[in-house]
Formats: sequence, C-alpha cells, structure tokens
Amino acid sequence: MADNKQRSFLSIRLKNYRQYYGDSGKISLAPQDGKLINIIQGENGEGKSNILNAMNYCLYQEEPHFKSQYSGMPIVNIRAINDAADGDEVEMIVELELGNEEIKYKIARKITFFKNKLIKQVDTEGRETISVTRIGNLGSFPTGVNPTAKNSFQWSTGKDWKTEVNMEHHIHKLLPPKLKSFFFLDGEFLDEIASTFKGVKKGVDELSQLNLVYITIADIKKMVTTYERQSKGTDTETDTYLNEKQNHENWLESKNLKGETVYDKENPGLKMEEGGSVWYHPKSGKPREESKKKELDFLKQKIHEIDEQLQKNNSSVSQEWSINLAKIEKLLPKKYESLEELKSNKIKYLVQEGPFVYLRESVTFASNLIDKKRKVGQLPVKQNEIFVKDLLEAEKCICGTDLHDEKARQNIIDWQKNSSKDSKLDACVEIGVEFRNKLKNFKKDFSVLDKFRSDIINLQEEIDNYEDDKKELIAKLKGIDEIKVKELFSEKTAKEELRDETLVELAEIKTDIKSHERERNTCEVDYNRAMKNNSKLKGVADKLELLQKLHKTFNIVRHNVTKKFQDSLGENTEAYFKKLVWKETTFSDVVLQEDYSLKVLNDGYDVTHDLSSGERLVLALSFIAAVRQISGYKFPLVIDTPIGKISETPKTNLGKFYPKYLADTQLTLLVTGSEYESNIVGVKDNPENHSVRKLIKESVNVEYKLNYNEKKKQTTFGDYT
Amino acid sequence: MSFSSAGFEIGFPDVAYDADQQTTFQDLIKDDGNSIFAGLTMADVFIYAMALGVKHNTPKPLTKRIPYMPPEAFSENMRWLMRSVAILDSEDLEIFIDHSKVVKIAETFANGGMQYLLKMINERVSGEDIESIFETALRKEIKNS
Repeated sequence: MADNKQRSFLSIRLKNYRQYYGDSGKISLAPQDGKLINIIQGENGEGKSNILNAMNYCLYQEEPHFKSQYSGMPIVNIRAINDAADGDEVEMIVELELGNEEIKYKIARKITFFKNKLIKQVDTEGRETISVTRIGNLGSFPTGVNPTAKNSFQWSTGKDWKTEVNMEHHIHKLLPPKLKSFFFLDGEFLDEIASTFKGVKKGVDELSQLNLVYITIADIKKMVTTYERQSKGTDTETDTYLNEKQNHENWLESKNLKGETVYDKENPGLKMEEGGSVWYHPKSGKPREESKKKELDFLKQKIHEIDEQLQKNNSSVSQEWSINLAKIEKLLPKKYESLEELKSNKIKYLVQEGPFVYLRESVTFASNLIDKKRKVGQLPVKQNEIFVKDLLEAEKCICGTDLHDEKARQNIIDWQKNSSKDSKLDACVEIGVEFRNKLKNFKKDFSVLDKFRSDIINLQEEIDNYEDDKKELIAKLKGIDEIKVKELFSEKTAKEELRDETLVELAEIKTDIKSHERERNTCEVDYNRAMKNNSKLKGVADKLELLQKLHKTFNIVRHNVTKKFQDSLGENTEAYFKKLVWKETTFSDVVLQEDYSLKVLNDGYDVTHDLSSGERLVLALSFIAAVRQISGYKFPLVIDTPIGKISETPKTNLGKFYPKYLADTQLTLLVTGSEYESNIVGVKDNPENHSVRKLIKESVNVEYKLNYNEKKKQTTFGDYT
Repeated sequence: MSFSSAGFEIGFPDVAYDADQQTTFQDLIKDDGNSIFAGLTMADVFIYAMALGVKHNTPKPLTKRIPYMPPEAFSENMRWLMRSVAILDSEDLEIFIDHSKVVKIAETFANGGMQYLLKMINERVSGEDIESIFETALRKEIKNS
C-alpha cells in the first residue's frame, strides 16, 4: 500500500471531542481544482488548537498543543457527559481521512464508556468541580468510568476498505512521531524552535537516518567490549592497560563500573521550569558538558529576558545605557574567544614554524644539493615536469638543441609524457622546489610574528576598553532609584556570575575531556601492543583492532553525514528566510549550528536575539519548510495561528511566497479573524493594502468558521461568510 | 607543503626517543599550562628538539630506543625536515630513500637537542609567558640568519 505522491487531509470528523459537542460529520478538507490551502477561522478559545490536538490524538494519542484552561477537564465533551443519564453510553470519535488519488487512509479513534455517578470535589479556590482521572494515553475521564477504545486503520485503492491490525506501525510509516512537530505546528512551538530548538535534534537525526549509524556505532562498541572481556585475565600488563582505558572511558561517559550514569548529587542544577523538580548534572565527561551547555543556554536566555525588561522599564537615558551595556556584554565573550584563538594560533605557529627556522641551514644545504645534482644531470630528470618546464623556459636543451623550434619543444614534452614513472628520486626535485619556496619566503616569518604580536595587543586593548565602558555603564545604571530596575539588575548580575562560572567550568571540562581522550587513546595503543606481544591474545588483538578502526570510521561517517545534512538544512533555511525578510533588513547570513540552533548574523555579529517576534516566526517557518523539503515525507502541513505576531512586511511576503514554497503541499491554516482578514498597510509590495485572505485567495480550497456557543459550551463548523 | 610522492612513505619506521627521555616527552604534552607543547603531540616535541640539536650540533646516540611515535604522527613536512637533517649530516642526497637511516640520524639530534629545549622551558622568570621565551629565541634566530 505504498505510494509516492503528496498526501492531503481529505476530511476530519469529531464527535464529542473536547468542545466539539455532537457529531460534526465529515468536514471535507479534500483538495479541489489543485487548490491546496484550507482555512479554519476561529477566535482564541473557540477550538482551533483542539483541531491540531484532535489530529495528533487520532494519529499518536497525544495532545501536545494543550492549553492550560483544559487541564482538569475530561477529553470527552462535558455537555455530552452531562446530557447522558447514569448508565447511558457516551461515545467520543476522532476520525481522519487522508491520501491522494491513488490511495486513501482512514484512521479512527473511538472511545465509549458508561456514565456513572460523577464524583464532585472542591478546588483550591473553593469551586465545585468534577473529579477526573487520566487513563493511560486515552486521556482524562470522569473518575470511576471504564472507557473502552476501538481504534482502526483502514486503507483503500478503490471502493473497498481494508483493515490493518498493527495500527501504530502503519501510522508511523505515514509520518514517524519524532517528525510530527514539523508537520503539526502551533505559534508557540515555532517560537520555541527559533529560541531553544528543543527536540529538533531528534527529528533531524530521524530525517537524516543517522539513527542507523548510531545503532551501528553502539553495536560495534558492544563487540569491542566483548573482545576486551575475552582478553581479561591472560596477563597483568594487558589487564592494567585495559582497566586504565576503561576508567578513562567511564569518566568520559560519566558511568560507574556497572555502566550506570553517575550524577553530581551534591550540586543540584538550576530550576529551568517554574516549580520544576530538583535535578543533578552528570558527574563528568561529555554528559556533564552537554548538561552544562543546556544550563548555559537557559542562563543566556534569562539574561536576555532581563535585558528586555530593563529596556522596557528604564527612562530614555538609562534605556540607552542598558542597550549599550547589552551590546558590550554580547560582544565581550566573542572578543575573549578571539583572543584565546589568536594566542593559540601563535603558539601553534611558534611550535610548527620554529624548527624550520632552526633547520634553515640543513634545508638550504639539501636544497642546494638537489639543485646541484639536477644541474649536472645526476637526478633522473627525464620525467620531471619542473625540469622540462625549466628547459622550455630557457628555450635551450642541455644537449644544446635550440628550443625555439615548435617541433623540438613538442619532442621534449612528448618525451616527458612517455618516460617511465618509477623514479623515486623524482620527489627530490619536488622537495627542492618546496624548500626553495620556503627559503624565499623566509624573511616574512618575522612579519608574521609581528602581526601576531600587534593583533594580540590591539585586541587586548579593545577588550580593556570594553571592560572599562561596561564598568562605567553598570555604575551609572546602579545609580537609578527605581526599585524594579535595581531588582532586575541584581538578578541579572547573579545570573551573569553563574553564566561566567558555567563558562569557566565548560572550558575546564573541555580540557579535561581532551586530556582523558588522549590518555584513553594512549592506553588503547599500549593495550593493543601488549596483546599482540602475547601469543594467546594475538587473534583477539587482530579482531579488536579491526573493530576499533570500524568504530572510528563510523564516527567519522556520523560526523560527515551530520555536517552535510546540517549544511544543506542551513542553506535552505537561509534561502527561505532571505526571501521572506531580506529586502527590508540587513541580515547577512543564517547559520545552522552543531546543536541545530539557528544563528542569524549581520556582518559577522550574532543578531538572533535582536530579531522581532515576527522575524523569529519567519525564521522558524523557513526552517520548517527546509526540513520538510529535505525529509521527503509527503505529508500535509497544519499550522495554528501562523501569522498573528508577524509585522506587515513579512506578513505580505508570507502571504505571497509561502504557498509557492510549499508548492504541492496541502496547507491547513488555523487562523484568527484579525490575522486573516485585517488589511496590511504601509507595505510597498502591497499598495492596495490587501489582507492575507486576499493575497492567498487564488490558492484557497475551503474556508470554515468555528462557531462557539458560550452558553452551550459547544463549537461547530460553519460556513465562512 | 604538499608532495605528490604517494606510496613513497611506505616503510617509514616508528620514531624513538631515548628511554631516559620517556617521562620528559610525556610531561611536555600535558595540559598543565607549563609547556608550550600542551595539547600538541610528541612528534611536535621531537621535531623541535631535533631542530635545536642541529642548531647546536649536538647529536647524541640513544642508550635505549623506545620506538613510541608512529610514522603517521609526523606530517609530510616534518618527515622532510628529518630528511634534510639526514642529508646535511651524511652529505649524501640519496640517504633520504633509506627511511631507517633518516630516522636514526633524526633521533640522535632530537636526543641531543632536548637539553636545549628543556633549558628554554625551565629557565623562564616567574610570571613570564612560556611562548614569549620561544618567540624571543625565534626572533633572535631569524635576525642572525
């Protein structure tokens, strides 16, 4: 039942799901006349997000776009429960049809239960509520009822429907759950993508099939461990090296001898969520580095939020001070990073170029000797390109033949081409040329050192100036007698201290990791050598060495595939983003980093945090479009409140370009009236002030309006008027 | 530098330090901030010591060879520097085809040059940057050359 065509939602049916009371019947979403945009318009709280939830529930039994006002409410419509008498059956249905002209899929989740006496309780604010209980992944139900689920997955290529037993398996083939966040989107998730990129890595690993490489690497590692175990107990030397190697590996992975993760139980991590529980960083190695990086991102985000609040709260002068301070604080870590890099490059230069300077005499001697031998014909110059080039340039052969003559020149060239290629000494001439070039540029070495020195001094001076400015601005801002500003500053200072401590710790962890990795590798070399010297372990040693090489190779593959995938994803995201916001702004680059976070650069400076919420949304949408393009999954896209936050220009661009980018993809937009119908004013490319509705009119297939009845607490689908 | 002598390096042997120098080599590449070679490789230490051995012309035979550094630890550039030392020492161009002889000569110069390398590292005044010692020495060498 495989097909390779783009799929669309054909219909949705909701019966007694959340605020959808009664049976909606099949609400058609099927594309007609090639039009692929569906609009479902409703105001906040009228059920837009629950359409997204219903789709997710039908496919994955999850409701990820849950709004807080629904917590404590049953998944089944309250009026339907209240209408039923005790002992009556209550039914909830969520059903989706999707597919194309070749194949259709019908997925249904049907839940029934017999109503019993509702258990009432009083909440913390003294209100009387109905007690509900969550039952597995079915959802929340009135306490005491016993729901029964009837789920079905059917497909059809004609009139008859065929039923599949393993429902989840078939749904996952249509769209793996890890990728669903790229297809069912809400404004909040988009905002999250642009700022924290939670969960993106998992999805991208799934897309690039890197999961398979991870599994292979883990399998090879298991085999390595098995062979290492076999080598144990044969001789003390191999055991010692193996133990040392494993100690380093355990440190690097923060594991104990039983393979369990070791946590730093004495120092709890920062609370990243309101009321979140206490958690601890792993004790050592890469897991600690990862965990600390997350904490660092959290701190940076918090500092950024405080900066925004400070800018809102300060008077105009102090606001300028705050802005300047924020700029300096953003710039300083980069400057320190550049200084360290410069110093490290200088050391590398000193170590690597120093020997050449000291060996100038021997290099000159070797170079002269090569030249001398070449000139007197003691080197097998017949196949040497450089020698032939010299002859042609001199226009005279060593035998005296005049090489002005074209035929004589051709003879020399042919002779070189056809001559034997087995001369080892030929490389001598090449090295002679390399040495000569090195010697020719020798004087410049001094200027390189001078440049390093002046660059370091200049950068240090620049940093000192920034530090002075920073101190001055902090002192000025501290003088402002505003309680809130003071509180914010003290909170900011505390967070900055923590951030700096974390940065130092991260640098130390990095060094420690490098050191443990190096010592682990040394132990591995010693271990392999010791095993090879033991005749009983020779066979195991050979196999183990092969597996170690395989492990290294697969890690290189993992690295290369990730890099290639990230590059391609970054380029596509940049292309979309530039098209949507480029004209009016000065962003120069969009970079997808190793941790899949996106950076927007302006002349090399990171301006991601300066993006407006609209621009961030456009960035996230661009990323989603790029992911979808690369993923190859032919699945429709549903977006909740996609354009509410965007300013007029990108809104116009979105309206104009986004349907084109998604070309053959069905797009269902859950919109508010104002974001869909308000006129867009003051945009050059939209002189008639068209609304989004007017801009995308040609591509719209169906338009529905959600009608919410406050009294009946009921939403129904209606025609758009 | 890049050379097109593919396959030419087959048979380049492991490079040794003297048994007496084992700890010195290991200490010099430790990340403790006291050595300019921190985080680099033993091959970097070896080549630097060899260069100083040539400068001071102090080849010193090894009492016991510990062939610990594999050929792949040495870049092409480094291997050609070793060859230039062997050519100078033997005054024979063709010696560079004999990898064992090249390595043996390079090892004796590295062994003899280590004392000068340690002198540079150990004689710094308290608080002085280790790289500034190397930079000053290098500037002096460039000036005199």
